[in-house]
Amino acid sequence: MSAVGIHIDLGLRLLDDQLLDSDEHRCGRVDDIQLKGGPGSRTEVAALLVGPGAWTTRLRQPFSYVVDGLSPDHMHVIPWSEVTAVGTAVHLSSTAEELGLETRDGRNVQWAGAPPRRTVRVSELLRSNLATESGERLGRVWDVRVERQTKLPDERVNESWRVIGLITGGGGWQERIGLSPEGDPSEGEHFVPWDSVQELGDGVVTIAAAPSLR
Amino acid sequence: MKKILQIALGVVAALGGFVDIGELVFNTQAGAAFGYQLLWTVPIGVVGIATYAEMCGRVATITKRPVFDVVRQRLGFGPGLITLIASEAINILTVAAEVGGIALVLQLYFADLPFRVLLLIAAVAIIFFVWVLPFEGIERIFGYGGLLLIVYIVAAVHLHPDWGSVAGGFVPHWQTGENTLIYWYFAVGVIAAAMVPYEVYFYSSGAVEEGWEEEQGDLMVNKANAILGFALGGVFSVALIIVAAVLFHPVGVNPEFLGTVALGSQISFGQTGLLLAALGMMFAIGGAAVEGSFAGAYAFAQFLGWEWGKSKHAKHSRRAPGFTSAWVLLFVLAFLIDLTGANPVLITEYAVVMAVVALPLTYLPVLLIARDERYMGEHRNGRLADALGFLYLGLLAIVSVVALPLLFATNHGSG
Repeated sequence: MSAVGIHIDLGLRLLDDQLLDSDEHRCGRVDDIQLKGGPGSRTEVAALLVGPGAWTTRLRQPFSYVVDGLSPDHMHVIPWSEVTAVGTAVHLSSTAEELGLETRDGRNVQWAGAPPRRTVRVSELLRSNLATESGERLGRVWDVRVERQTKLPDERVNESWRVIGLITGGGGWQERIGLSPEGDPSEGEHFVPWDSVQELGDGVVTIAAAPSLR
Repeated sequence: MKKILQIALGVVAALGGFVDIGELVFNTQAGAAFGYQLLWTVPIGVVGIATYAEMCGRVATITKRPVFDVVRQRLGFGPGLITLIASEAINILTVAAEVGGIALVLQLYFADLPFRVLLLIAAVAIIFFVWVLPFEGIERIFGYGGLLLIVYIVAAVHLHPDWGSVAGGFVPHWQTGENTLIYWYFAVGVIAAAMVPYEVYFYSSGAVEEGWEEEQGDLMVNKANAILGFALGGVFSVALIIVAAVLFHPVGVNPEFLGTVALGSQISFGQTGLLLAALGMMFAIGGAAVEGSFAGAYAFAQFLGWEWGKSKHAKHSRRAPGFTSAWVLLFVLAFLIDLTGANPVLITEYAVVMAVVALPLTYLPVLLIARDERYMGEHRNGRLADALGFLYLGLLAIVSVVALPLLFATNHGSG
């Protein structure tokens, strides 16, 4: 059986989902998603980030300022290899205790101010604006589209999820209200191929000039 | 046969649980101030809550996602958090209004006791029942007890209203004149009291708690509960308006106290009527207090992804500590608001009107998920559910803008 590509938008289908451990115990939500890689290289979903340390940075001012001082400066990390299925919830292969989610022993913890090298958080991308190298602004990033090559077209996650592009303009909100544009999900006027991303800066994703976006 | 019995029990529980202090206050005041003129607002509220409750129950059955799960997933973290904060503020006010309402009913029989003692009795009794009863027990005891309010339906018929005028009240019409703003304030209040969000938080979470499954025919149970239960609940609302229209409107009485609402039954049936009305109100308001506090705890736990549920609590009390702490805390905060001496009827009005502001944020993600084929498959919204869903979303958006200005401009309906 040959592999087929399935496309998923991380903001819409994975971020903020309920986490269920191997005992079907509710153990948090996907407060952020950590990608490994970066512009010009293969970028994949690497881990799920859980806890106040992960969601504090998603708040806008003045809320983030207020909460920042009160929330812990660390977050729990669930390696992507622990995820067994993504459906209407995210299923994990271990118990919450084994993953350190309901313990305070420092297992699978990452400091908020010290992310691993060559990682990007999906929430950072979703807060960013797109701009060309010449400085032309192209709107905000609405979602991050990934592709999983799978031989099993069901909810099981046994392959890597590779970032193929960003969704911008009206494409993101259209997806959210259930108006998915038809056609190839790796093309279209609202799709920016990951290959064209040049740099990830402070709130700005710089891309090579993309005539198809105009 | 078992399924029919389950449907009947569910409908009766939804029917009895429909009426809370918001319905008692707004419907009675609407009838006292405008006679039958605002009857048309009842079906509008009932169709709205039935539409969205059916959607919430269907989404919960198919995806196992209760309302606040859907709110955060579809709105995202920031807007979801704003919805959570608004909902919790409303839930606390609602529970404060309900606990105060129980104390007001107790005052009818224990007038010698200080009001704060009655408040304490009300709060402790509710917490006790919730702690010891299983989920189904809570839902049904309070739901069935609330059926005693049938005394108002009997009273409405017994009072021989002018049925022609009653029928005329169901025709929507524009009110002009000096009381225009008050008329629209009560119109918004009656619709909002029927559609308060805690009802759908509780309803959809209950569907998940009871393990509704498509294969077991629970989609039919959901449809029957949502449509029949709330529609029959609307009959209570109509009865409250008719009783107030016949008894209070002609003499210009403004029922500012819950005791005045009980009078409607007492005038028709004497002390027995008063007792039935008082007990019915106690169960209906008590049930709403439980639903409101649970709704707050559900919303909080679901937003953060914590374990939640009364069933879980009973089986593994150590596994849903956040949920249990949340509903107890909600009760404590509500009790503290009551201790300030604020009038429970006034708290009710603020809670209901403020709820309107949060309604679009609650119902939008429900509508989006319910019509999304990727989640719902063949059970996604049909044309009718979609049409009603968007129609009510538009209506709620308008109402949410005018609700607070109307509250202040009319001095909460006092003129």
